[in-house]
Amino acid sequence: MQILPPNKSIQLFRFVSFSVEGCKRLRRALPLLLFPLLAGLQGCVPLPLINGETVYVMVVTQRRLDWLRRDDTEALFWKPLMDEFHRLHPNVQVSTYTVNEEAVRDELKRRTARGLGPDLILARAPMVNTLLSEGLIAPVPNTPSMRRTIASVSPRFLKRVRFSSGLSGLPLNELVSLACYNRQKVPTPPRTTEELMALAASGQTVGLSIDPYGIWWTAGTRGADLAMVSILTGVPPTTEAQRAKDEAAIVGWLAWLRQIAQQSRVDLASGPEELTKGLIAGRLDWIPCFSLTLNTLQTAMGDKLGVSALPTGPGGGPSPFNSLQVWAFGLDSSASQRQSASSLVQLSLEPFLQRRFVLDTQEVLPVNLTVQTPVASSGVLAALAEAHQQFQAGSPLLTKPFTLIHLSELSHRLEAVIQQVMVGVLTPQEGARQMIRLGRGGT
Amino acid sequence: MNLLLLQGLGWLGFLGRPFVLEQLLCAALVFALLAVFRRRQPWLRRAPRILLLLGGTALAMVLAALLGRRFGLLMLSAQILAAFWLLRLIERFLLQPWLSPAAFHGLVSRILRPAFSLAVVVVVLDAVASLRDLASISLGTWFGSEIQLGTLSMVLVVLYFVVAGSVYPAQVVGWLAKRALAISEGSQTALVTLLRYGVIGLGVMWALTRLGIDRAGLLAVAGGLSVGLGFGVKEVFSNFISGLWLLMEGSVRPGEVLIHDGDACEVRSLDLRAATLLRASDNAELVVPNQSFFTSTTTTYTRSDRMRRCNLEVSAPSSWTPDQMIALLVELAASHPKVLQHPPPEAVLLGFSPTSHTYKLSFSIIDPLRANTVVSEVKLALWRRFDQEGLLMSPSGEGSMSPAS
Repeated sequence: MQILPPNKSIQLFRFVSFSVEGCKRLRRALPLLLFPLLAGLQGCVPLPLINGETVYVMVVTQRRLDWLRRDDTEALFWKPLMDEFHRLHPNVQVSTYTVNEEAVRDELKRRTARGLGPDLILARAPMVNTLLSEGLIAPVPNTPSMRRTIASVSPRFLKRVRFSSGLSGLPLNELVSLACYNRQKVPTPPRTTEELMALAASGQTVGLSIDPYGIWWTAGTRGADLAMVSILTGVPPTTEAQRAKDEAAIVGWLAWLRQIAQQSRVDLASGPEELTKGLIAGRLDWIPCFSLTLNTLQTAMGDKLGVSALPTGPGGGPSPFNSLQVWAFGLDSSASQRQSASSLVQLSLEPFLQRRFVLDTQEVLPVNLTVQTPVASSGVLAALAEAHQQFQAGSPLLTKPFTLIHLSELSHRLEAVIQQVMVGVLTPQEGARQMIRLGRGGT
Repeated sequence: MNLLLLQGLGWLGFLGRPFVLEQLLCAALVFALLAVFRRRQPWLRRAPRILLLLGGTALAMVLAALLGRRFGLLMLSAQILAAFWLLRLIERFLLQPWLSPAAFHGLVSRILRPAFSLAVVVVVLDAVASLRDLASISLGTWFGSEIQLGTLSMVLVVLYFVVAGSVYPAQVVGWLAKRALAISEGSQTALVTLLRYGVIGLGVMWALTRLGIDRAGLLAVAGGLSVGLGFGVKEVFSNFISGLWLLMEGSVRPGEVLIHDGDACEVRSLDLRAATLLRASDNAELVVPNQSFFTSTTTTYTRSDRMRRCNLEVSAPSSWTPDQMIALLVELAASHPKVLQHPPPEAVLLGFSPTSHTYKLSFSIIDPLRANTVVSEVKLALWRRFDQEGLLMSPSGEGSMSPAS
């Protein structure tokens, strides 16, 4: 290697020469030049690897469903949407990443402080409402094209994300709780809770879990759903008579839960993962299931999988858990990224894609007014539609806009009380009093 | 692969955002201003560059906060700079005074700095992409198991730190064993090396289990490899096994002195493929395949003790009687400080003629590597004594010496 003396120049072209010292300075200045250079490239010339602009989508996975492999969702939901989007916007890449629901607030705060927040967030409605109330996302842009898209969404879904400041997000699709069973062991699904108990008494194993997916539906069947709404929203009944009625309903519900927990053929699982795996493995014959798990169950069980709506009870229809998947807008987007993000949202609500999501995934329901669930085409879709009707009729809490601020902490405590009642640590009366106290903000 | 590229390089899209550009330009401005002021102000030149950068970034952060702008990236930079400064302080004040230069350098360059760099990469990736999604990228199915990027990265990182870091606990155990069991230094080094191999072996087994590699598939591959071992990598494998065997047998251990190609050498290390020998005569390091010790005779001076017997042939004029000359030779050898008194120096008459007699002087030294030096010094002492006694002036030219060690 030839070593140049310090005063020697390096002739690059005829008119361009650098001294060795100059080269050293250039090397030092390179990091400074790099960022504007990349920025300039990004702004002016499409970079070959990302080929222009990127829209960042944060997909928030639901608590207790984090274990689900989403390969099917990738293929059945994202791929058609992305294919269509790339056809319309060939220079825009969509980068998706998943964040757990419990970490999403911290993650958004951290990323937004750096200017690296997502352009779009896909989460369930209460989470999006929470994020808007905390100023971590922007309301849906009030542009003419967006107004047209909003008009295409069913008002009953919009109601769940509407605030005085505007819409916290734009609904994409709906997920519901229903019943899954092994056709070989359970030829006819139970339509009532009494039939469910009879099924357990006949030797088939019924699985339940103490969480919104696995047990909250039973509150409606015992007439305790309104009392639970009062607890969950922290709005106590105004009259003594109503208070006594609510307590009696909760006592009745808890007593029934305790009764079924004592049956030898009723298994209490830790959550949807254990229920789903139990049904796949043949340990359980009937479980409450969330529609997001249907693909996993279908892949593993094939024709053995039966799907139906949840049973009704003497107190009324079930109060199934329901999740509205919502697009929300981030705070950090550049003008063009916001435009691209809006285009992606609007495209996802187009009737042809909404219909395709329903038919391909067989686990979601459409939100577009003009798209009807094709119940005649599949038993699963018919069960989904029936579950949606049950939800509309029997889950007064979830049909309103609410945030998770009060709920997330409370639901853990309520589940602990229910568990203590079911295993016999507390009596139903003690459990009901504790739950009412928790709803009023006590400990 | 597309997913990997998109996740790994998707951050470039952030450069189109005003919030991000502001912060990057702010950082660049701090960098440029410091570079300029540092050249002009001598007092700034004396301050550590990292502290100046940290101060500059913190100042930019405060300004951004006061102006109501985003400053998370600046804060991240400041946190990384602060962590690096702290690391350097720990290195300088906590580790350097207590460790030997070689151990300090090894710890810093193999463990601390790589760990810090890794942490920075993870933090930056976490900031611009999703570690969870990066980790779940599938790299395909190997030996019946789906390998994900996260698992593979974790296994590689752990293996690296096991290989690089296992020496320190092994050295502690070796030191404790030497103190508790009074083993020799060579045995201690051998124990350290064996412990390292053991830990690395366990690490490899853990890695295979963590990756979920199907053992049946692995056995099939091992069967195929055994054919390959017979041809292509036979020597490598043979050297590896030889190295392990030599360590367990203790015949060639680090710290031993042996004769290699006629030169006294000290074994510096016994590695997987080869041993490193230090040749005393010219301070050269020789890398000798382990197999050569396994298949040929090795002369060692440190197998049972470190003593080496040196021999020296001396021709002296016949004017001195053999008894006088033997006494002189023994006295001269014994007077050298490096020559051991036990076993005592010994001189014998090898041959005689009318003009000169031939003697052999034998003596022992404790440091085999210094044999040539000690022999030379004894010869010099003999020459001086012969000169004093006029024995070098023999008309026949007798009075010569030749060493035979």
